Amino acid sequence: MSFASAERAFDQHLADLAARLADRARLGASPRLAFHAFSNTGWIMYARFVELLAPLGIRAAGAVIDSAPHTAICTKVWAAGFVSATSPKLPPAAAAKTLRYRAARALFKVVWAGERKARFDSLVKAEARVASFPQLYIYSATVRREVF
Amino acid sequence: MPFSSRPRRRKPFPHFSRSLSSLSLSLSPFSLSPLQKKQDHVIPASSVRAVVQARRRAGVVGVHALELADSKHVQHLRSHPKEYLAALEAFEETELLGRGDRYLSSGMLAVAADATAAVEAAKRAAATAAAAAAAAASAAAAAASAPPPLPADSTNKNTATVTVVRGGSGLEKAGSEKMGGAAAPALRTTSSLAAALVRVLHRSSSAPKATALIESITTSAGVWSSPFGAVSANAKFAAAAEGAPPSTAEAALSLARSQSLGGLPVSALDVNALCIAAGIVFPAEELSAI
Repeated sequence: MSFASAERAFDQHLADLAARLADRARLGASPRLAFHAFSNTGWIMYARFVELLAPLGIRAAGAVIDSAPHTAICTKVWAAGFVSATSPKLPPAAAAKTLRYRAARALFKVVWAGERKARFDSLVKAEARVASFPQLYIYSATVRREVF
Repeated sequence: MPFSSRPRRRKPFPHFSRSLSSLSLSLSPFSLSPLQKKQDHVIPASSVRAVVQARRRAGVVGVHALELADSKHVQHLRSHPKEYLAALEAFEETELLGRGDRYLSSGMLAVAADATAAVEAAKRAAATAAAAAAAAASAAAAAASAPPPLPADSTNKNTATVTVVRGGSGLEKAGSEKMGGAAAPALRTTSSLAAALVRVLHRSSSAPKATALIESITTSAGVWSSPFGAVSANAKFAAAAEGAPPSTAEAALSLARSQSLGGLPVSALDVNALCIAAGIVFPAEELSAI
């Protein structure tokens, strides 16, 4: 699945949402939003939301970001997250888990290259430009161990 | 170039390096010491700190950070419920309510943290006054949590507060017991948040429209990056529960079980989609009716 096709599907729904918010604005209700995003994939969704809503003059009231963002693309992180999400039942030191991790990392090296990498970077920049509203970041204090 | 064939360096001490390599094989990427088991292995704290500092330097008002020790990736609400909810409510009080609008429902957040209590409250409320069940339950849950505000924020809003909370194992145990039951942790999280969402929808004036919108958003979120379809499953049972009787939290929980979500690896994205959707349907005039 390409970034572009996912964005098209997403943007269609966002257009519906924008129309609903515009209706509210006409009725005198505030069209501002509050976001609560979890993890980096959630943060990507949130970033796309605010990026698309900004030209419509719709500004978020605030955002709560849980366990995100990691603004640099790191295939180690993506692979570890993917394996943890897809095989939560496997014991931590299982050989199968390590194998899946290696396969996932190889996959993400292909996925996160060229156009997609550039798109992610532009999304990060767009979010930084637009996010002038109050934000609450909730994250783990401990530093990730570089073991991969 | 995914599979780069880098030329191998010749090792000066073959025996020594062989023993080292066998040692490193036993240390798989997922083998963690007891100290490291409660860390976030997906998002480094340095990355979040860098973003927070960059926002502050850029002059963004109201950038807060809650830094939790001994907490896993997206498990902060589960491992530190009190601190998490206190931070959320303080954020709402200082940054959102102070600006003239109410966006996050403290009732919803309290329900999300403690689905079991919400179900009990909803049962009691349904027995007494069926129509006001949802409002009473959320009010009771919100009053029960009553968190302290974030420290030092009243003086200078531009200075973000970094609070490091050290979680004891007792708190975590108490939290897991409270969430209780035989259901999988992922199911418990999803169903409680979905229950919260459904309750919110029930109170909103344009509930059917909002539900349809949420379903469309969460379904497209599934297209976006969830390979499991759990997002749309969540949305469907939330939509189904939308037409349920006042004890909606209970209805949503039973629906969650009947939809057999327990077998699906529910990711944080699903919860995220629900929360984003819940945030969308929070204009001030709808909340004032609660």
